[in-house]
Amino acid sequence: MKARTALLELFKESSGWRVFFRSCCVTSPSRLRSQAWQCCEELKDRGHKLQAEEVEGSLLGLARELLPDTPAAQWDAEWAHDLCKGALAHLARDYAGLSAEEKDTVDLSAQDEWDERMHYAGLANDPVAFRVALRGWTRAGLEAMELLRIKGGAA
Amino acid sequence: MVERVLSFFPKSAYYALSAMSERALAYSEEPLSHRFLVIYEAPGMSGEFQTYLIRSLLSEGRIRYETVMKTSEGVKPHLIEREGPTGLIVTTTALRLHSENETRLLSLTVTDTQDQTRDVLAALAEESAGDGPDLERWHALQSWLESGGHRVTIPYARTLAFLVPPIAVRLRRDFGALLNLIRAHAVLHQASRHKDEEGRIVATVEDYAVVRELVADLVSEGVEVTVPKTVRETVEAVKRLREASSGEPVTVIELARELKLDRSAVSRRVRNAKDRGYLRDLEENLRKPSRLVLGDDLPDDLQILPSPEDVRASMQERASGNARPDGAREPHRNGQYSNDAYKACNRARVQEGIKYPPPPSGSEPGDIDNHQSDIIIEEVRDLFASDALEEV
Repeated sequence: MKARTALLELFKESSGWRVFFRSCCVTSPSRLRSQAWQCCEELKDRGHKLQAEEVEGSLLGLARELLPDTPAAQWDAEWAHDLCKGALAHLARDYAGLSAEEKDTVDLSAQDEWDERMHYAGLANDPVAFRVALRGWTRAGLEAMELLRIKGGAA
Repeated sequence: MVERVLSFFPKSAYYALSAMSERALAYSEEPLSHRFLVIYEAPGMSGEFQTYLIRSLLSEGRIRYETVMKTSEGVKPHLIEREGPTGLIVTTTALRLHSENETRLLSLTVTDTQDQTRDVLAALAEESAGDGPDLERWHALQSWLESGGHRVTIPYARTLAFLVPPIAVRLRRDFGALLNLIRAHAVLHQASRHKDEEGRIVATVEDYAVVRELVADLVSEGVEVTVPKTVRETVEAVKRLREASSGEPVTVIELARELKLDRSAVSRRVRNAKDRGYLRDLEENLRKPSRLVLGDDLPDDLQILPSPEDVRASMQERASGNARPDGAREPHRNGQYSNDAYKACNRARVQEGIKYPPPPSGSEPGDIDNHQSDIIIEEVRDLFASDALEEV
């Protein structure tokens, strides 16, 4: 069962969890994110082994669907900034290992499609899609640099 | 068993202890370089600082420990350095050690079958009846190895690196250990190995084949793409017993009878299977007999380490120039790894929560689940609305 369905069943069944979810959403998106582990533990006790990241993404998504006027339902620029910073640092480590010539020739165009998807995910206020697109963007960058290294080795 | 193995080595090859004080490794004057530290019971190294020192010794090959000493001129900093490299052998009855230590070691479990017990009894009887094996020749071999060459080159190391699917962070350590074992095997067989122009022993694929035979299961189990044979046997026995009893939960005694093992060995197996999620105990009261049922499905038996034939094939491709310069086949491309490795790779991705981006179009797995949650969400939305009204 996916995290979204499991969380909906939890909220359907327990008014206590609905109150908790609402109080987090009313406070801030970071409050909701920081408390995602509690939901994760509860779902685990109910037999759903889910990744914390998946539960967090679903909670943010449900905030938008169930309580759209709360702060947690708004786009969290700070969160997106932190994610992007981490991804850029990851890419920068590999980029630093390229020669000057490789830096000139590295083709990062494969990232464009993901870049666009990140942009639209942001516009659509969809944190789950944003995270997926960012991961694709990072991976496309890493693969482009790896490809260059392989070609370089073959030459 | 460890004592018996150690008897084949001269004392200079190891330093055996039952326990040690928290800072003994830092202050002891016993040389640790190129020796094995042997601790007969894991609780003998359970201190936080102690395990930290051991981890440093294993990972960095040395200990650098800065402390302060009282001198006539007052308290002065003092740097203690203990040179490695040092290996570690530790025995325990626990199912596993501290995870930070466990990932630095290869875990061997003792066979708990009746056949093995019979063999142990026979070996003990044989020993008590006569003289033990002649150990002098073994000690002489070790002395000869100490004076011989130790530098080894593994010409297929990069090929191997590209053939091992990079599915878990733990593999970074295990792969290093694998290369060291190949080197050790080549050193052991140096009399029949070539040397390169720099005088290094050249490891052969046969060295890898022997090491793979010894550790392939351990590596696969370490990254949890397969389960130990004992766990598999135990879970399959529970399945058989449940089928035979029309789905009744199984007790440890029933299981012991089915597996023809003693109860303590079965309890241990059950704990291991429960820890891994393949068995569940419906009985919550610890004083009452277990009521075992099946948990998660067992994965297929998969191997992470490529076969020696795959390594040779890659080497040949390299020789024919029909491959990447490192001799490896292209990684991450379906159909080029062995089928097993790809299955393992995908499973580990799921286990580690690494979800690759979805395809740009087409149906998503979980559509049925989405449909189910779309139905529930309307009900939940109404519930949130009535909660809000009640609050007002």
